[in-house]
Amino acid sequence: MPAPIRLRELIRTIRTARTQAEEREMIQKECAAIRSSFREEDNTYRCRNVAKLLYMHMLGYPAHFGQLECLKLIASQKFTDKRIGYLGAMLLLDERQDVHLLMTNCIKNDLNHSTQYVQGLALCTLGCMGSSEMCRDLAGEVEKLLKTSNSYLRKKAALCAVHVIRKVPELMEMFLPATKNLLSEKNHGVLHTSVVLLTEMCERSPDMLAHFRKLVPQLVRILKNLIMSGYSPEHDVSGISDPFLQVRILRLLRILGKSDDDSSEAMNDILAQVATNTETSKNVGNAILYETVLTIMDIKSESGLRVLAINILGRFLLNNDKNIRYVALTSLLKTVQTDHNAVQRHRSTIVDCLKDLDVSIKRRAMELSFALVNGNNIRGMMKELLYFLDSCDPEFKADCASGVFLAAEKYAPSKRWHIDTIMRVLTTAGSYVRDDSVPNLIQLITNSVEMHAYTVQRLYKALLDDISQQPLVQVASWCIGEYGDLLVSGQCEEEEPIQVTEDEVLDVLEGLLVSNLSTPVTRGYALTAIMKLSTRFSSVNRIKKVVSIYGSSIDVELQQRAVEYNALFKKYDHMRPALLERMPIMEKTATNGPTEIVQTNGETEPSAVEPKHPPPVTQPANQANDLLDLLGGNDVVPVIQTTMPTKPASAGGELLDLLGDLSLSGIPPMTAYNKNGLKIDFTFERANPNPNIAVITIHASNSTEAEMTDFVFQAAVPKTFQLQLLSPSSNVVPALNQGTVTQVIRVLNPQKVSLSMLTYTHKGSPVQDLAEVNNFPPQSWQ
Amino acid sequence: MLTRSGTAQCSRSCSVVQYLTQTWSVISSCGVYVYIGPGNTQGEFLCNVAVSQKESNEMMRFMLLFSRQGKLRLQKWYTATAERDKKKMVRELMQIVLARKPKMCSFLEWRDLKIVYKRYASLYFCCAIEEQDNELITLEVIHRFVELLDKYFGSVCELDIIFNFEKAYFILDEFLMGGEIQDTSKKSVLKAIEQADLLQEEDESPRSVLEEMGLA
Repeated sequence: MPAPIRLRELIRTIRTARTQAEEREMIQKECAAIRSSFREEDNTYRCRNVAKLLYMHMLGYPAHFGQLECLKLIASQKFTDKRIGYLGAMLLLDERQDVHLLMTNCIKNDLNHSTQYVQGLALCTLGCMGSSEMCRDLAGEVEKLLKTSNSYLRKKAALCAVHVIRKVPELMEMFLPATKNLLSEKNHGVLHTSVVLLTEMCERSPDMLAHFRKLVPQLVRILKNLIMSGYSPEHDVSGISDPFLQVRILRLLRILGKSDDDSSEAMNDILAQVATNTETSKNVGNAILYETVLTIMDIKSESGLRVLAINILGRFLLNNDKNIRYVALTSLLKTVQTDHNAVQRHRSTIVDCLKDLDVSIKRRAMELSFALVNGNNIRGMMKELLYFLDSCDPEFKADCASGVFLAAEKYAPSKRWHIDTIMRVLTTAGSYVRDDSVPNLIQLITNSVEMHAYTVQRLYKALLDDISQQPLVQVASWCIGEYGDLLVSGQCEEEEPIQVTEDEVLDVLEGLLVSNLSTPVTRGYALTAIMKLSTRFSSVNRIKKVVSIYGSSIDVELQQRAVEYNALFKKYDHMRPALLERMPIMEKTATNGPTEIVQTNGETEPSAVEPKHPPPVTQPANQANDLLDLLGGNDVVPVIQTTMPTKPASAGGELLDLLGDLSLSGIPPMTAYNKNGLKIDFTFERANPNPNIAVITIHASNSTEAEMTDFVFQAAVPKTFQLQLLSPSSNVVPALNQGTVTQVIRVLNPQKVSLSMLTYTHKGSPVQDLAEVNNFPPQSWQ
Repeated sequence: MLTRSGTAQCSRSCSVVQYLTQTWSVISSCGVYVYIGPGNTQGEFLCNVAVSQKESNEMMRFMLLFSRQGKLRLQKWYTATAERDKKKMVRELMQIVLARKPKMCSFLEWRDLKIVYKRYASLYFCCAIEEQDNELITLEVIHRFVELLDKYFGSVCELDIIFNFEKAYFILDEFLMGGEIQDTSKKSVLKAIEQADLLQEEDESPRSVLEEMGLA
């Protein structure tokens, strides 16, 4: 039997293949040769054959018959065999094949091998693909190696332990003793992997986290040495000493400092130092700065440090490097809720990023822009966002449209502006709006009573231009059905009324019925609109004719409607005017969004009571009702109409929920208290799912030079209320309007009067004040 | 809060779903992958691939090397994934990355992961990391790996990696384990490889010409 061809020879040969078929033929021939070689149990060439098999596997060909051979290689005494064997195991085997368990014994032996490179191979394999069973069996060996003085093995053992913990979290305890002096190592490899191990343990167990907090000073010291130390060629990257280790330490500090005042304080200085001293000309430096910013924002840092962090992000936004800009936008998105004002300062730069060519940057900029929209900048922002909507890729249009609607509903300066904005969205991105926008818009239009004439006129004109965008057409038909009389009588005040006759209107509606562009749902809207006009127009005969024609339509839905409307004309004509009357103002319901996680605050006032639970929503009986509540029960499942062929898969559901707390409520915000530099604003929303509960968010801001600490807001209310006060975002109101403290109050049936008591410490002296809040807007208690 | 086992409703209103770990990945029985991320954000992806169990919040999931023509040169997976899922993901990702224009940024979002990629001559180096990971330092990790290859092969080019793929894997496995860096010193990693290569050479007893020809 001639010797099997060498690996490089095979690679060379296969690369000469000119077609896929030719390649397949070569591969099959070689596989056959390899198989027979395996059958002969040939030790000499097993390694070579497996290597060839791995190459063919990478090309996409099946190689499972080599699995057992890998195990035989691992068991061999030759280092070459082991090297290829372990590689093969990592490539061909995983926990899904039972065969992999046979490796356990070999690995155990190799973990105790006399050659450290063999031990290294075993550790690496275990650390990359070890299954939970293997990890359980071998954890003891790994733990032993974690305590060795050989730094080559120690660093590998640490990472192997990380994998073991990921697979079998219960084993974490056994590694605890070995971590004792990991950080006193000088070897950077061991240091780095130890920090990774400690991070993994702290993330998984609050007990471990508490235990390791004492390491903060040591970590700070190590980081300091790295920054202050001179040039070290071994670990230098563009002038920075071991950036990988620095980033890892920063991340561990983040975890240790989160929600812990002492630890956060201990790391304040070093964070400031890293933030100011790191070179920013290369990506490396920026990577460290980025990690620093993330850490500063997560721990309980002083306000000066936070401002420093946001400024770093601001500088990132102006960087030429796209990657840096992207990272800045991502981080700002995370901090926009807590440090809203600071982020607002960079608004114009963020809006400019909407025009970037890069898709990822555009998406981030869009999300951030929506988060920054508020009552003050709504007009300007909306202009930019609508321009973006016009020119952006289809994948963005759905999210952008939803965002525009939500922002408009929350901050519209006037009804006319609101309707104009909606019109603009419908005409430019009409086919991309979500299914639930049509009913929402209809509700909005109904409730803007004084704008009916203007709205119907604009929608009619839009229909004349284009009937392809179904949501636009549906809303328009509905409006024409409702307000067609206003259209024909030319009553519009906002703009020049157009002259249109009843026949022309009916022409348009009938056009919708016959057009190929109209979906069945749209046709339904059109038919109903025509029917409604029978009580508003005089040309009833024409309408009767149309309705009777559709009584024999193939579309069952249309047919049913037509037949019922026909019956209205014939047998129930006396009921027709009442039935087709103008729609009344509809009650507002909240949009889809996550329900608030209700926590009771210890320091509630006398009459605070849990609001009544809403009537049980029917849910399928299953084990994790918690989850369903978290998703707000039925609300979160959008009804997807099957008749929306142009709707693309929505890839940005996240956006909708980023804005999830912007619910549909037209209750304007109010200033409840404004004295001595402390200003408290109330914003209102309706609770989901019980709309009788008003959710008031108080925003406390401080315009004096000194910050207000120990800030406590309490409300005392008459017994007719039911009120619940949730925890405030913080007890410190930063000075000079640099941030706000927010607190949520849930009230059932708020009335006109309520008493609030505020206490805080300002410039060292305590302040207490009582205020009566009686200027609640009427909509909040209707 | 979200627990290990539980059910959620697929947004396409099909039957109830199955949970994967505490990091909020959910697969619905219709194959639609509903992702519920931190902060209760909800996104929807069409995916017929069962995503493997997420073991951690921060880790590198896999690394791929492929050419401009879409030929895979190296693949390292740090989580257990079914073979056909791997193939599907690789195909998809290659398509997406190869379609990117040169001026675009090195990061993109794909499924619930962040993809960090960089092109070096004719090869794309592509890493998939988690939501919480630092993209900028991942670029540095990729660069360090390229430097190691370069030092080892001496001005590395794609052909080196094609004909010596197993050596490329050895270097990668000496540099990263479970997606994490083992040693931040270039010198240290290269020395270890060198020593291991020496061990390999000691192994291979010198072959006579006759043996080569199969005549002895």
